[in-house]
Amino acid sequence: MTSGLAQPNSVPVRAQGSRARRRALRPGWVETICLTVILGLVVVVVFGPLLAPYSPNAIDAFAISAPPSATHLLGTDDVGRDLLSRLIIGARPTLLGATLIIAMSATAGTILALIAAWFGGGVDWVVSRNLNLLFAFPGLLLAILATAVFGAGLTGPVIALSLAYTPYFGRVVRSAALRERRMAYVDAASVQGVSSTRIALRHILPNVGGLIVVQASVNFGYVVIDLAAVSFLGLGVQPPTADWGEMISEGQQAILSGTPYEVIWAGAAILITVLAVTVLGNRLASRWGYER
Amino acid sequence: MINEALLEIDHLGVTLPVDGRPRPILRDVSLRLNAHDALAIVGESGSGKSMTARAIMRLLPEGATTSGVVRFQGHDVATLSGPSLREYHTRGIGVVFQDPRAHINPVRTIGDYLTEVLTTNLGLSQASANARVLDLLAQVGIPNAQRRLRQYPHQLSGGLLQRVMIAAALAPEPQLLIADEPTTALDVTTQADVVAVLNEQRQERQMALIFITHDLDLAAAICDRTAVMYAGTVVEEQRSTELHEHPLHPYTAALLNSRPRLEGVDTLTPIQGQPLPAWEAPEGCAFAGRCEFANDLCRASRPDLVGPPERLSACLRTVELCETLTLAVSEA
Repeated sequence: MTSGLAQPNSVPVRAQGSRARRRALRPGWVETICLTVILGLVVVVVFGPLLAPYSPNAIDAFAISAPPSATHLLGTDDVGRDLLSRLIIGARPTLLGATLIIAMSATAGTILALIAAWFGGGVDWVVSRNLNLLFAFPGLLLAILATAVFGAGLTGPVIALSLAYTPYFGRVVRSAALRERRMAYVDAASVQGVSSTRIALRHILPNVGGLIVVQASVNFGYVVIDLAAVSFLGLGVQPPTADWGEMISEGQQAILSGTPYEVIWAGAAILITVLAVTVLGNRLASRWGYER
Repeated sequence: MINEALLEIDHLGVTLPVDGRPRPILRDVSLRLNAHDALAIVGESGSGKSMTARAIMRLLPEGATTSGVVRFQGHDVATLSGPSLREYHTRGIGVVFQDPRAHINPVRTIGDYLTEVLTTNLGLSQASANARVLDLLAQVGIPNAQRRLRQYPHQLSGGLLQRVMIAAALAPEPQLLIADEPTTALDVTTQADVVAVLNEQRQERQMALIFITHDLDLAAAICDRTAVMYAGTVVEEQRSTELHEHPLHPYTAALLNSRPRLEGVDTLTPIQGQPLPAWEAPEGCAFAGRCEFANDLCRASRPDLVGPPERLSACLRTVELCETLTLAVSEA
């Protein structure tokens, strides 16, 4: 933006750039598909019980391990439970758990990153070393460890994975915040008398916000997979509660008897979710100029 | 008289690590400023003008060590911390930086930028902060102020943005305004307007002003006094008009003679050689290597900034050169 033409009293250039800008903001077809899928998932999570044709635990004794049909659109499992209903209801623990993990690890990682970037020196060193330490620890192992402490269920894995994903946010946000910290506007704000906490939260944070969103969407995919893995191992959500990972675990014996539907549907649900969120994250990253 | 000083810089020295070694950036800078005074600090790039300003603002780069004191209303600025430092930054000084686009947060609105300090530090309500800011924007010549508050920095031109930064500096009604080359990043046509706004506001508010520039004429137009810096130290300080007619230091005279002129000469008279950073300055007078009047004594011992009040010069030969320099400036 050149100021060459701008007279002090003129209205700044706005109209001319706006069409191009609007075109740049309009989502492409890839983004549209991803957003539609995500929106669909949100609807499923929120209105699940209304959408499910049956109760997820209702047993149809006349249709055991049934293939897809008009009464059971996606078929039934080996005890005669409707797979569509289980898939819909199972979205809740899977997706809400993943969202919770992302929210907690993003918050913790960002706070640590801002503290490290703001104070620098020794504080930065301690925070960075601890993040590296967490990095070195496999998330899944941590989740298994947590179930040993909290018992089976979602609590343990959610806490463990939140911890495990904290460095993914911490490291990335820290380096971005360090860069922002050296920006002239930060100096200018502090000379205006703006307090340090305020500068960190109201000035630096919004400038690294896009990065956090990108990082969250990319990590979301991994978290869904990790959660599914924990459930698959039988450490997360316990039967008969429906959950995608647990469905894969339960459905694996059925593969041998020639009815792979439970595994296919649950696997497909995980695949589509992860794909939609990750692709959208990558698109946002390149659109906002964060090269990965 | 002594206690009246608003700002007093006493033998300020700043050392910064350059390439891993501590290098002096400023040495022995002494300046004083009374309330309502306007002082220009003039010098080439790297002469230490901005570093002096940053020392006053308490905004020295990491790793800087200082000697000497900067006193604001009698308080050592270095000892301020927490609330007293914020108080100093709001009520004490206001700063207008060189490049408004770099110094205003790009992702927050102009309104947020202008009212932030008023609501958080001065305890104004959002409504009264808005009212004060709208009033200020009108005073610095920004039309459609109401709409500007909702806009983002990228939607404003450089000249407008610089006025916004002036408004932000004035908003908490500081006693001293520091303008660090406020027009250097702007194009020539907007420069004059911005300087006019700055000057007008300062006179209306009876604020003290430190105006940093490399434009000697601009300095004289705005400020009663001018201090000339070279290689991290003040080499001359005089009333601006006097400085232009009767420079006391050969460097000032050479600077005056190297200005482009409207009539007559079509070649410039440059100062021979290169400006030095403070850490490369030799034992004696830092300017000796480029000075046409330098003698052996000049190269051997460093002169202090001395003389009667408002006629300070750091040149050993000031008295004998006085007339020569006046003549040199008037001839050119």
